[in-house]
Amino acid sequence: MPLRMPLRPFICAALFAAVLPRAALAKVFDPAVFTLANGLTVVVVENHRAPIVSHMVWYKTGAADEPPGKTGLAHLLEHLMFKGTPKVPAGEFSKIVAARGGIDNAMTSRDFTAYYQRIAAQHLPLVMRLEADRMAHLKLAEADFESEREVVREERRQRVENEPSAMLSERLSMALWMNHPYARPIGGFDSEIRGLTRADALAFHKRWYAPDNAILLVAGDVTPAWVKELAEKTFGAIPRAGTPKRVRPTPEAPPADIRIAFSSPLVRQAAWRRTQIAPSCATADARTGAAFETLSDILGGGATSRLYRKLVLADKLAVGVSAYYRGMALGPGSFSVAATPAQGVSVETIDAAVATEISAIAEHGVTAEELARARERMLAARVFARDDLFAAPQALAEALAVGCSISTVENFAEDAAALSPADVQAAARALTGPYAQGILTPEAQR
Amino acid sequence: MKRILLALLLLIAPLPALAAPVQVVASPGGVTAWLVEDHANPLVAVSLLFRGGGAAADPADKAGLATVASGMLDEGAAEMDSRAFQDRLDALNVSMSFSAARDSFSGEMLTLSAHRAEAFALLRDALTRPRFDAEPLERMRAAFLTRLRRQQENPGSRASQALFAALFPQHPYGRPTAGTVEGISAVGAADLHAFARSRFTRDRLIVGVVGDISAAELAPLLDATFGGLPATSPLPPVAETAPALSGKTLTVEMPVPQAVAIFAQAGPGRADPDWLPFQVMMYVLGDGGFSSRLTAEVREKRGLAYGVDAGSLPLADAPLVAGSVGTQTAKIGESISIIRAEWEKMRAHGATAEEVEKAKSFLAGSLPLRLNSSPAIAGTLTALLYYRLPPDELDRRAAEIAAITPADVARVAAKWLTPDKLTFAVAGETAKMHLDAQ
Repeated sequence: MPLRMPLRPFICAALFAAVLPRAALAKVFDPAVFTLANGLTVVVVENHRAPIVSHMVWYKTGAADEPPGKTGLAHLLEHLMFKGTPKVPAGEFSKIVAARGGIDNAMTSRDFTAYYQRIAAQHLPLVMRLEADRMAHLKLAEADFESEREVVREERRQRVENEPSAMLSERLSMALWMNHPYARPIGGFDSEIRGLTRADALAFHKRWYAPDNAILLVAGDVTPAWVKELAEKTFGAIPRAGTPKRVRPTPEAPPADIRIAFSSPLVRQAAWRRTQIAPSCATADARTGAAFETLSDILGGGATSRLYRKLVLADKLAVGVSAYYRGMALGPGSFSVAATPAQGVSVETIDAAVATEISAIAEHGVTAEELARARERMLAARVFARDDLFAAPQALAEALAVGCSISTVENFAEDAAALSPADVQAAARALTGPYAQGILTPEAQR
Repeated sequence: MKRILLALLLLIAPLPALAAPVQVVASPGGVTAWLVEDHANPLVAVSLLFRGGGAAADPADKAGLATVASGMLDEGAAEMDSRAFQDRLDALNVSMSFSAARDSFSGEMLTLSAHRAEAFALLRDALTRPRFDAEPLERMRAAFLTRLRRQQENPGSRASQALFAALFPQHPYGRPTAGTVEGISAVGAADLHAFARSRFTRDRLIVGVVGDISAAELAPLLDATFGGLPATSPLPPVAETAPALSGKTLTVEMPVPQAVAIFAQAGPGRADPDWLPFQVMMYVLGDGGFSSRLTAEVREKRGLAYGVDAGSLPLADAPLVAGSVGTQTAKIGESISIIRAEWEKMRAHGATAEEVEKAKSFLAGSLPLRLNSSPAIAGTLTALLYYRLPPDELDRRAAEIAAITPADVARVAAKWLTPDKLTFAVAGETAKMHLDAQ
């Protein structure tokens, strides 16, 4: 069926997990990293297999930086960045890239907004000029603003309101994060999107889009010297803005377990998940992050994981189960487990079975063999990541965009290799506190 | 070894823009693979495909057989039960996956080169000695039935199923590739064994390999891995068919705020001489993202959709052009009428010289973007083989694209586009759709 990848998606960091399951790896890309006089951080990953390049600009701003009452603004601005400058008319950006065989897109998350082009390396000077131009000179016609606001509302209908599991995720985040800006849906609430104005978008652009608040990532058939020369000629001409450093508040710890149940006539298949606040690369050291990543791998990283073997293979309680740790965040991270209950099995049974497995690691730790296997997987993932010049190097820019260091990615496998079973056990202990459950059920079952 | 080396000399062609050439490796036992040798990273990526092994060959009462098989091949083979096989894959960090399309069955493997011999042996066991044990079969059946239920929640899937059922009432294309509840429920181990025997044959096999392996090293592995497959099988070919295109708009009732429409008409097949000019024309009409007329009219000018597109779907027995759009329920009729109008405008007037130049420039210039990783390159090799194209196809295609004129585009538009036959299926709240606005 020809339903292609939708254009210009907003994403949560989980998307990167899908691309790069054990994202961060030791001395993976060996990038060249330097900073221009105006504060722009530049990361270059050389890969000369094909004469192509991935060019990305990451801004250190996202949905969590929106003013109160203006959810959806960061994502709407991402769309509006294609609506023109004095030099490039509205809608022409993507056409200019496409006319040279390139593809382009953009994405918005809680802590960052990123734009990219994938194109023959000879066109790198062009895409750098275009990207620098819209960093400094966004121009918006009112009519373009209004039609794009409608497009963004359609995107929300398609990706959230038409998808019960996305609606559940949205409500679960709100319940978990409460007073913290991570409670806001990345795409925004429809009632608030409707109220956004052209002036809001231009103000958000002025506040956050500047060289000293951005990371340039270039991966492919280039040299650092060439990228530096081009970056100085293009982005280098834009003055530093003195963008304030972002600080995320400390979330209120949930006083007790939270349970969000959602049922609709659209739902045909029950689903369950639990999520809780966990450390991130910004709030804890690298060893702690590696421990949570390893725990998520041992607990729910595929067909040989503890949860799959217990819930799916042995006890037939679930059809599928997985764990996910989100450690790359400017604020706290999160740890989640998701399961699809087998027919006739209650979500309460699933919840209890997952809690039992987490408690088992909290009490008894993991085995030396499990830890050794996890290390091997991370070392292998490093080789596979180095092979891909499009998706994999993004982890470098993502780390910098959320205020963490390149070494979060480059030294990850070393950090993981240094873990003891006690480190993983400590991570599991941290998960035995309150958490938020999300439950999706067909309407008839309620 | 001599024979291998002789075979290697038969054909070595460059993939455009790729430092390494494509080598055609013929094993002593007669298995052929295309190889791009690349020692930059210690890994090997394999892409394989069996022609005609897909869902369209499933028996009518076992719709979903190919899909169930795709989930079962790594669930136990030879002396290893499911747990032992999965454990071995995990211990070696080998990733292996299979998938069923309508016309073909494909597989992918990625391994570190240190484990490549054992990885190929696991692939051999999966293909030639699958066990199809009862425990994993019931587990996979439950997983695929779950997936069917999830698809029933998705308006795009529902509209697509309704459209294909209407287009192909008597042909397997009318059934969902993922199967039906009845079909998946009826699949047994004997069906799966018959499936493997009849569809995994050497005459249907296509293999692409990329990475840290030489032709001389690959050749014996090809025999060891695929040599045990039957040479051929009497699997009956699926009959060619013509889609039943009413030109109407079918509806599927679903309680969603955004209606999703899927639409199709007949198009040229991959081997049709019109294929490339047709691709240029469709890029301008609906396949060119932000450069397409459908995106300009439906999304950019009117804000009616987040995504709208249309492009070739070259099914072996009934090539189509198909597309999709999602619009808030009350305005879906408006989106559909714009699409019909653009279809007619293109049919009657073709594309401007500037549009044609930009489309050609994208289609030729974007070819190297498929070469970003070893699995992506292996997949490109397999795709070229599947459509019976030569290893230097990407270079040749750039030259062929360059020769296409606006007159060619106008000719294929007038010949192929049939706005009166463009058939839609829309899923959503039908009472609020205002389809009469068309």
